[in-house]
Amino acid sequence: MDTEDIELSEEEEEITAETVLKTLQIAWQNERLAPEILPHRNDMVECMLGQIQHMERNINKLPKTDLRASIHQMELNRIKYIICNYLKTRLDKIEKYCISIVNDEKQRMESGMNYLTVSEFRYAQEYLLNMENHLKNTVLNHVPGNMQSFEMNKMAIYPNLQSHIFLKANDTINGIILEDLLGDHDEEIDLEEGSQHILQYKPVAELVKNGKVQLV
Amino acid sequence: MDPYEIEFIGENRIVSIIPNFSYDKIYLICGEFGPFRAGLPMNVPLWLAVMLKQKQKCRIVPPDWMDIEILEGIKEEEKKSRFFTKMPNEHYMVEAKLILGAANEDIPRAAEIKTIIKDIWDIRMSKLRTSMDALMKSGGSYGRLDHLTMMEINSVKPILPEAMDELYRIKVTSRKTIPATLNSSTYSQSGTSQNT
Amino acid sequence: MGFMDPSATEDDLKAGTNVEIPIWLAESLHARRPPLVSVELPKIYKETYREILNADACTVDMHKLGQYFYELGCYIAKYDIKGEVATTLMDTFKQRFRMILSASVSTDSITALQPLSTSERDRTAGAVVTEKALSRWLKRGDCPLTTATMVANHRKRKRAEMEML
Repeated sequence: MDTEDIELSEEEEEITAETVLKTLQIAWQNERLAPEILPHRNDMVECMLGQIQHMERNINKLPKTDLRASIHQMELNRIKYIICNYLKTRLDKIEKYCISIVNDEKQRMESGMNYLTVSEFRYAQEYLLNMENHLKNTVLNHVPGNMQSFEMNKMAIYPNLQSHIFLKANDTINGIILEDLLGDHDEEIDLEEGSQHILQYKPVAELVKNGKVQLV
Repeated sequence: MDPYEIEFIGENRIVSIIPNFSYDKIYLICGEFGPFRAGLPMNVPLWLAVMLKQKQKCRIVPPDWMDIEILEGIKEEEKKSRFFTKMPNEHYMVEAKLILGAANEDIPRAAEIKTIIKDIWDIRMSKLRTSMDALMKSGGSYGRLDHLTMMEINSVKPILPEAMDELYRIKVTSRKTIPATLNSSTYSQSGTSQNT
Repeated sequence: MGFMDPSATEDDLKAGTNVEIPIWLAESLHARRPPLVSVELPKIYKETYREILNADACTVDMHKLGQYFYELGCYIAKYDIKGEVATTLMDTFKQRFRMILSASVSTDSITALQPLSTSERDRTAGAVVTEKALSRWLKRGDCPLTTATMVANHRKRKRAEMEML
């Protein structure tokens, strides 16, 4: 019965567990190093969680002292760490940039390009609601009426997209424009495959999202 | 990131071991390994190599680059070059630390190798400091850092990116001719919002 | 308003008196038409000091002369039409970056920190955390770097630096 469940949840397209793991690892690393929240990879997470369940059932069939059992267990623990840390990093960003993420996400949802999973979005909305209620209950309801309004957007914290990040180019990408604030000396740089750079996140944000570069 | 997390990432590298037991192929999520044949070299991820070594189930084969002559060459090259030279692999320090730590006796001339690797690391770290200074002096908004390993890059966080952020902020706010593009990089708070 | 000037004997602040006030107050008093006060730049932003800063910013003790040198400077720069203050701010920041670098690895942290401004100290503290985490990692386990080798390496590092130049 259990095995059937797994087969049902398997991807339509052929994709090896190894590829799923590699994709997750890169997604985790990028999420850790990017200033803003990145598009979710829930497909990969779900797929890997299925794999883990499947593996754990198999491990349970082995005798406890079997070397293979401890090897598999070790690998699963490593993967669980990646998944947990990946999800936790996203939650941290959701809490920190809650207002701006919810606002942006509503716009993205209209075009079907959502970055958050359904449950992440629900979490963000509830977090926001709790924060608002908390502020009302502890402060706003006790101050004079003309000071009670709650202007959410004025409290928004935005990720600093101008912050500098380190990246490695997976492909050759030409013509990244580095804006020059002080004049019109905008600089244009090329990212050769395999080269590494430090620069502002903003001009390469799309490249991080489509996998052309990887944050390091 | 914490150095241990970089180590964790580096542990995925493939190394060669000689097991002292025999087993069938093992199907891990990160790939198939084996079969294990006692006395015959085979490839496994570094984390597995260290684990088997700790259980005394294998010897670790020194990676090709863990060799006095090769390392001396790298060291000389690193000293001579103004730039960072390409290291034998992207996680040389993690690999060296874990292999020399877990399998000291499997590596010929381990103590000397350890010293040379540390020398190379030190040369690169001091070069890194010099180049950070040069990067800031030359404008401080962009730099190319080929051949730096992840552990080395991590050692200049957060100071280098933060200094570049700060310089950018000074640039933006001290020039009034420049429109306040800071909205996205600072946060505004309003405690006393007014009713209108 | 005489209380603002500790040396004044009268109740009122006389026209023409020099007093130090916070920049937020100075800005609004100056913005009145006609301005109620004229604003004088703190000396660290004046030409004499700018010349020193431009020559070698690392010789200046920011802790004494401008704990919030960059932050305050960004406000000041607005009133400087020629943009010279802005240029000095950026050049000073670039030059003094190496002081942060050396303070973060210095064994004598107190002396190294002494001349740094508040934000420079904060940045140094951040770098020290990284430095410590890294040396903990290097020292841990079966392949450690002992304290003795750290000192030896420090000397070696200096030599390596010279060899590169």
